[in-house]
Amino acid sequence: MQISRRGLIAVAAGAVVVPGARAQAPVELQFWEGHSLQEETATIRMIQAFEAANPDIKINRTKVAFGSNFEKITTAAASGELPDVSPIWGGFLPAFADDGVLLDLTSYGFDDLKTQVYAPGWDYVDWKGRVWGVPYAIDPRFLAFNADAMREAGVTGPPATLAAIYDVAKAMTKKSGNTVDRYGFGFASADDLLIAYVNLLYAYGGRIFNADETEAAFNSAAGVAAGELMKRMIADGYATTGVATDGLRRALLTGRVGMIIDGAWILYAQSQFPQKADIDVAPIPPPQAGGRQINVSSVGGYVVYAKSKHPAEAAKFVRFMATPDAQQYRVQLLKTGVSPAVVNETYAKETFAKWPALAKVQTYETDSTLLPVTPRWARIVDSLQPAVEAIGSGADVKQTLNDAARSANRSLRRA
Amino acid sequence: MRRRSGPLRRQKLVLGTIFLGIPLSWLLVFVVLPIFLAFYLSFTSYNILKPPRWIGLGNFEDLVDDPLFLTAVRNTLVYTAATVPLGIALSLGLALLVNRRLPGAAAFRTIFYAPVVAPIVAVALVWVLFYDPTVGLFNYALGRFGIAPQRWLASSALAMPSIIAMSLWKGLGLNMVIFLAGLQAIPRELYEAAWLDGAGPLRAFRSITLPLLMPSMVYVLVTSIVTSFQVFSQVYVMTGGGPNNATTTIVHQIYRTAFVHLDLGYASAMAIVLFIVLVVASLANVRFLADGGGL
Amino acid sequence: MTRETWRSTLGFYLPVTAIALVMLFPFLWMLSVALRPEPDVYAYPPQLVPRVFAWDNFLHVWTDPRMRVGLAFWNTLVYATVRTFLQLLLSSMAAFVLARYEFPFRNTIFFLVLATVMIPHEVMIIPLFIIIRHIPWFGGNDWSGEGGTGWLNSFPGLILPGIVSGYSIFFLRQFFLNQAHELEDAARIDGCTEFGVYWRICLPTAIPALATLGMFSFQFAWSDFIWPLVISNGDRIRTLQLALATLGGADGTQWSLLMAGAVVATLPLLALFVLLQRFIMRGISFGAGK
Repeated sequence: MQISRRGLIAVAAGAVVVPGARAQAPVELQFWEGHSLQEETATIRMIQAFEAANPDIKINRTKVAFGSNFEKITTAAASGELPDVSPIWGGFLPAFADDGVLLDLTSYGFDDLKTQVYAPGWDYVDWKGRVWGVPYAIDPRFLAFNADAMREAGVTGPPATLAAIYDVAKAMTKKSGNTVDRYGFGFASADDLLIAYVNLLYAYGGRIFNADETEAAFNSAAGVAAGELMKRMIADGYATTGVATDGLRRALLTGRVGMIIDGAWILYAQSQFPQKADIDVAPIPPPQAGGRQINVSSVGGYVVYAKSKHPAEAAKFVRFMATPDAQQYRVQLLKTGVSPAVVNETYAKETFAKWPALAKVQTYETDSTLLPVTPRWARIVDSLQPAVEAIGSGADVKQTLNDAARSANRSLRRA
Repeated sequence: MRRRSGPLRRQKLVLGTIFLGIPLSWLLVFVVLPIFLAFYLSFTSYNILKPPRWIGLGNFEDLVDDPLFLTAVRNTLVYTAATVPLGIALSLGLALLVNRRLPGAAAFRTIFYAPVVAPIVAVALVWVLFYDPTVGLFNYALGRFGIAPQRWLASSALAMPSIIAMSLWKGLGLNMVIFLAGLQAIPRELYEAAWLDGAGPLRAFRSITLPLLMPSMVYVLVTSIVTSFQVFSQVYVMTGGGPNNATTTIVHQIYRTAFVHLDLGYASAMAIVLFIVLVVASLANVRFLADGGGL
Repeated sequence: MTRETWRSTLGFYLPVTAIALVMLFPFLWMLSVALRPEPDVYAYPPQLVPRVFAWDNFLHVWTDPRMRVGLAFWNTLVYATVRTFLQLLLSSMAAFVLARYEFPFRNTIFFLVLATVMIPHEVMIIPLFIIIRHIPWFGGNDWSGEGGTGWLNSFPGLILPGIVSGYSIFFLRQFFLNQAHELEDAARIDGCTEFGVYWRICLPTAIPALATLGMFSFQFAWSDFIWPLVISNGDRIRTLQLALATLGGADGTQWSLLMAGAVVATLPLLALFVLLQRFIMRGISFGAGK
């Protein structure tokens, strides 16, 4: 089954290769890896699978430290010292695409991929109507909760509406005298706090930008509602905030916090946790019961750089990384696959059977929407993140968001 | 230079040219040239990927009413206003304390200096663990005294003081050693004379120690101001500038503008402003230093 | 002992011991976290002495093939040592001339050198990177600096940009100014060459200052992060700080290994300081105190 699939891909992709570009000696592609040790394990397996199916292409994987803000790639791009292929995330893909750093993959026959991967993945690599890469990681955010704590609080299930988040958090909060033994809800700090807010904002039907991204739109009624929900939970003592993500995951596992907004990483944390913890997941609920649920996803992609001397081979490689065949190795490490078909792959099947929560997270990708990462996103972050932090410590929601929108608009004019 | 013989002058000319020429040309290529490039870029719109485009004073015009930059300037000033005087007072106190010929004094000096040599990222991470609001040591200690837990780095009121506390711990040792050196250069006889004149320890400190310590003081002042105006690593590791921009500093903004917004022209303009402020401040201090007889 | 000396002894040892505990505590905590099994990192209530000692954290950090800490340690040692040595040599040459010779624009040159300290490093990284990429005749470049990669991903690119700094020249010049020159003048009268004056008289008396500056330079290179990050690809010249950075990520930070790595990264600096401390205390006193 696997072999035949690989064979198929090789044939399909082989049609793209320009005749004559195929030399006797294998073509060597420079590939920069900048991931954590865990994620690297999956990449190594994916590359092995690719090389096994494509003996004429060799992937020279070099480990580089990317820096927390991609400094490595940016600096290398400044003088054209880029590899053939690297992962990319955030607003860097559209920014690099705009400035001609990336190879336009539109003519490399990726159209079928569009129907095979979940919408946010494709939305990420499709910029201004051209294809600039393939998605390899889609991370939808959702509610993760400590099921034991929920049972103990006598709550029957995860909140079905946004307003119910407050009630569930209240019910799950446990106090003894002045000390809080358990917060019903936990908000992270810094960027993950912002992501949690953006999730609530989208769930209430709000947006970050206006249609042409010239102005901030988060100070809408939905934005205020999301801010009020957050502020009320914190002010009333049912939610904690400002905890670093690592610590927050840990607090959920130990039951010091009842619910958090996170991605599949919480399941990896659970797998590393020495004690037993019953973690379950649920989508972020809509405003009214039964409404359409929206989970915000961040996406990572693989791109080919414009200066690559082997564009056809590089395209073939990045394409492979998005196929179910390759993606099953990511699922093995408790991540979701970028296409629905990944559930049929051997290793993925095994993992999903052992981790029902991960199987649920995989389905959230269907109703997921891309975090609005464009070159302008970083400018929004600079205004919105401080505002969300201020709301968390009790600032007036409407005024704070209006001020933030004004400062964001000012900054957007520079972009 | 009593002898002005020809061969010696020629020798000095040759040696001086070589000795000054090599380091200065090196400095020119790898330090001055990048600075000039930064100067040039501050008048351009440059996103690193496309060639820079000349926009004259545009960046500087944007800078004067950029609320985020003004916040960063204010935070940097707060950080400087706290760390410089506190750092000087505490390290002077430490220096006075360990300036004795008692067994073990040298060992204590070494211990006080240890934070100076430790890599900043590593020790900043330890402090992040201390400040953790749920499982951190500080809140646990407060709890033992019945004080409510604080949010430290996550609170816009306490984040900057938390960073300042860590920075003081990290930097005290260096200034202590400089003061110690100054103290040891003060002749003992002066104190004996003052003691004979009936001066108490406080007056001796005011009329002998402080004035004679002036050169050390000025040196510490200048270097402390320059380093605290450029504070970055602590902020980057411990808070990322948050919460609510309470800890973002000038260099932190320069970094973000250059590498996150890919707006190197604007980042360069910020750097130039900082450069001018520091040069002016140091010139003033150097004048002071010259008057004080240090240079 | 008299009551007076008792009081002053107590007045010394009590406060210094208390302060020493405060100064050392973060180091002890670093060690403590480094010795815990990962799940105990967030143990509450916090405990200084680990519940169980996970000595193998140190083994892991050294032997994990993904991080190659051994190689990174060696690279860092090369980077820090060579940089320090060259910096001492070049800076002392410039400082000697600036302190001892009279010539036009001496003070202007000195002040310009000093002014280079006032620009933040962060803004120079990209211009510097472009310069390193265009070093002629290296890394496949032609005479115009085109065609290859210059000094990128090489030890020269890692080390050489930092071997002269405004601060190091400033520091040594201050030291030389505070040294008496009678000895040098006497040597000249005895027929010593100018190079001899620098090499045999000036440098040996400057050993405390050189040790101090050397320590600063070594420490800077040892802890440097951003320049090794942008200049290196792969393992060849990767430094310790970069190797340790791979322990954090979206999947969570491995604190116990990170702290074990931090201990490994801190110990050589502490050891070097203890070794050099006699010189350093004296060096600082002449370089800055007077």
